[in-house]
Amino acid sequence: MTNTSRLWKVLAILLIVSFGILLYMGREIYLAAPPVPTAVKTTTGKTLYTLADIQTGREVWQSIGGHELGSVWGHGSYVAPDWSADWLHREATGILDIWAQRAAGKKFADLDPAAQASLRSQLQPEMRTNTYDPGSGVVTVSEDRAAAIAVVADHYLRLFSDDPSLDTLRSQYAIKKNPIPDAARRQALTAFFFWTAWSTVTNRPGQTISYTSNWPADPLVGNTPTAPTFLWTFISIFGLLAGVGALAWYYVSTHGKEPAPAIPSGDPLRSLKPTPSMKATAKYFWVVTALFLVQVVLGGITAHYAVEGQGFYGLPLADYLPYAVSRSWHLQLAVLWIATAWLATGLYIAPAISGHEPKFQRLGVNFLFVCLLIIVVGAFAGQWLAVMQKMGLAANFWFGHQGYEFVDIGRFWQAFLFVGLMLWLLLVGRALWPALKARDDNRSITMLLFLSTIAIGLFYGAGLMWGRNTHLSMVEYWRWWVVHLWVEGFFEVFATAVIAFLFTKLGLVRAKTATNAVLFATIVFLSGGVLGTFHHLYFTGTPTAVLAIGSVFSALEVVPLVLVGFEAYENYKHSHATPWVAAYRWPILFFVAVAFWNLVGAGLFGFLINPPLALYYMQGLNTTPLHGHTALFGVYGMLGIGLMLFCLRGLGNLEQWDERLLKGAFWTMNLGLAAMALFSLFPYGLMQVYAAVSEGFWYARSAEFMQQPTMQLLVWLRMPGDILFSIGVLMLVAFVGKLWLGGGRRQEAQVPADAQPAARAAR
Amino acid sequence: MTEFYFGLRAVHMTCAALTIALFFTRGVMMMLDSPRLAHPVVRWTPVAVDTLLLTSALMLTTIIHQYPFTTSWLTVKVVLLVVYIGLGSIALRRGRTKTIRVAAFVAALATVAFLVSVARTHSPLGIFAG
Repeated sequence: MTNTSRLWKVLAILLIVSFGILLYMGREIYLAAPPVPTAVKTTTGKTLYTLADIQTGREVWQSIGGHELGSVWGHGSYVAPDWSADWLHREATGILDIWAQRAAGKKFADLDPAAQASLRSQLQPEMRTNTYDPGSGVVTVSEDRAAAIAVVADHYLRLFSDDPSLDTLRSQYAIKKNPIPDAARRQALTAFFFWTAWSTVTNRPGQTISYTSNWPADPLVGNTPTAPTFLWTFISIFGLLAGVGALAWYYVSTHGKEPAPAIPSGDPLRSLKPTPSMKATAKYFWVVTALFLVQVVLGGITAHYAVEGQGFYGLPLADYLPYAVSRSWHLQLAVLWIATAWLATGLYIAPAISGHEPKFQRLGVNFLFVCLLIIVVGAFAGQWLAVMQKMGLAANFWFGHQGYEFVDIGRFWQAFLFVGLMLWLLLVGRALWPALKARDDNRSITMLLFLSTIAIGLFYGAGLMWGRNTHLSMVEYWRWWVVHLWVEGFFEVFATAVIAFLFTKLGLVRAKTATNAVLFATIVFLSGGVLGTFHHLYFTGTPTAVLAIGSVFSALEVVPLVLVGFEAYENYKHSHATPWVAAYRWPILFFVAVAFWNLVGAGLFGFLINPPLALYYMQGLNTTPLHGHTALFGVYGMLGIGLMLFCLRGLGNLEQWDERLLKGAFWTMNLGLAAMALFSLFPYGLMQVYAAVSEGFWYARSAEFMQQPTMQLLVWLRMPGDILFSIGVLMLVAFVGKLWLGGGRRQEAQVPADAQPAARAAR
Repeated sequence: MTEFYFGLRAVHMTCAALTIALFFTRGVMMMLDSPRLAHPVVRWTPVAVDTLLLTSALMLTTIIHQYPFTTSWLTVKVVLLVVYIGLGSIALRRGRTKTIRVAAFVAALATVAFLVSVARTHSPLGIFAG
């Protein structure tokens, strides 16, 4: 058996075992999820909430943006509070105030320490005892607790209305005025928030930890890290270090043993003549650039809402484009422009590889383009109408805002996008078919590239697995099938495969070497990546096994990222391999940036929040967008730009290829991203972690904490990095605009002198 | 945030002075045909200073609740800034002949001088305000 076929077998076994465990644990999560009661009643029989209230409340929450406005169970956005943690703490202090009033006629805060300690000791049994009756499905609460729930509910009813007494708080939370005009919807929303908080504090039957493994941290109610949270933290770090050692050994023992490729004397792709369907992909790249620009503008608006909750430098923007919408679009556009760049790359390189232009391929490429435009416009209009509360709740599910971060467009648009992805697979597959059938050295790497595109397309289908009333724990489970298995699984495979593939096509790497390296990297990525899905689910109402498996396997995900410097260096070397490669200098440097941010954004900032004990305190703090921005843009955004540049080189019009603009764009975007991370998100996140550990998670997300001058200053410290980044984006837009519209400087002046003859030949 | 007002104002004014000094230096280098004008430090230091200048400006507007296009002196500042950037670009890069570049340089200095007077007086008429 050859080394390549052995690696294929290992990969197949790995995938079967990993997905087997992933599916089995899905069943376990289903069985162990916190129950949604048929009713919440008081000891005297008064009904506070019904199942219908809780279910309707969740749909109301989804309709106002769900995760895009505050968070639930730590998942969501960071300006408004985590509603589960906020409700929990308000309910706890509400009960203590009722008891203090009865015992001493004072508020709890005004009692002496001994009296406070006495009441606190009664609070934990009151809140943690599980009163859910599996027979009737009823949760019973004391009259005192019911009174506290009423106080908290009243606060929320006013917060989500236009009550002027909470104008300031609404602005601090970046919630628009009167976000839910319908009083019945507001009432239902409180039922859902109550249930999410109840799940976080109620002990699992027969255990002393809550359904969410005691998340969020709140010592007042006894929510402190569990023993497994500590234990699996250390085991995961142990596994990571062992993995790094093993991979370093493997790398050193195999490195340099492969024969070096015979680098061609001229650019092998220079004779490439774009087919009609390849030319038709050009418009995808114009749209990618436009979407990227809009995404960055929306990011600026969203970030600004953290300091001026309802306005934009005096403009009452929240009346037209509230935070929940600007953030939804900012996130969706990130995925959309990056995905569109990749889709276009697939459509561009498939006929280039096989030399085969199937019938009606150009028509297919154009049709898919129109479909994507309809999806973007339709889905975004639906989200706006939803947040502006102009939709019924059923219509909201199908066409409005599903509220689940990254997969929050309406179900109809999700399904449409899935069909679009299948159409894309069909178009890429039929153009690639002759290359997939050919028995040569390139076959395996072409196959791997194609398999990763199939996986990207198919796994979006997991986003269709939930319905309107599916349990929130199961929605989170399926949601992360899409988001995690994309970004930490198949995207990584695609990134590695496509970059190796392009270098193979340029003759800088031998096909056999690349195949084995990519297959090995795929095995390493997916051995941690598939079961690493669970690291998003430690605290979403799942059993402890999820925390154990998730922490160990997700720590292993970091192993290849720690050693990604090897790959970066190899890629960098390629940019100097031979004079004609200078024509590909900037696409290659963007690939080097991909490796850099894979180490920093995905590896370091990802692992910062990965061990259970770390995430217990850091989930839903600014340490998450720190990882999000540096990994999503740093890795996949940079890859999208690199791929776009690679394709644009082949699409002609090189007289307008302006290296100076690319150089400026490259450095300002990278430095801007680094500045945003290091001056603002990182210190802000660490300050929040300090607050979460010392006071409780609710405090780290409270207006009281986040409105302090130092914290506001840290928000503003994003600005220098953001400005630099924006300059880079404008330079990239100018670069692509020049290619599109013509005019501008000739290339000869830009390419290094020693590369000029080859660069000319490449044209 | 109001506690940072005076600190930010100092940062803003220092950066303004620095950016004008840097522009003046680059203009002189342009007139002397200095090849160092294209040196990365000369090109990118003003970008760093301008980034801080703009950040402090935006922070100040939210502290004093006065914004361009609603407050007239800030509107004039923004318009003058655009004119200054345009003239500066002609002076240092785009001007086809040296005469054009020098003329643009002088006009840019006059513009920025008036801009500073608008900032100091908080009046759209700047130095010409009664």
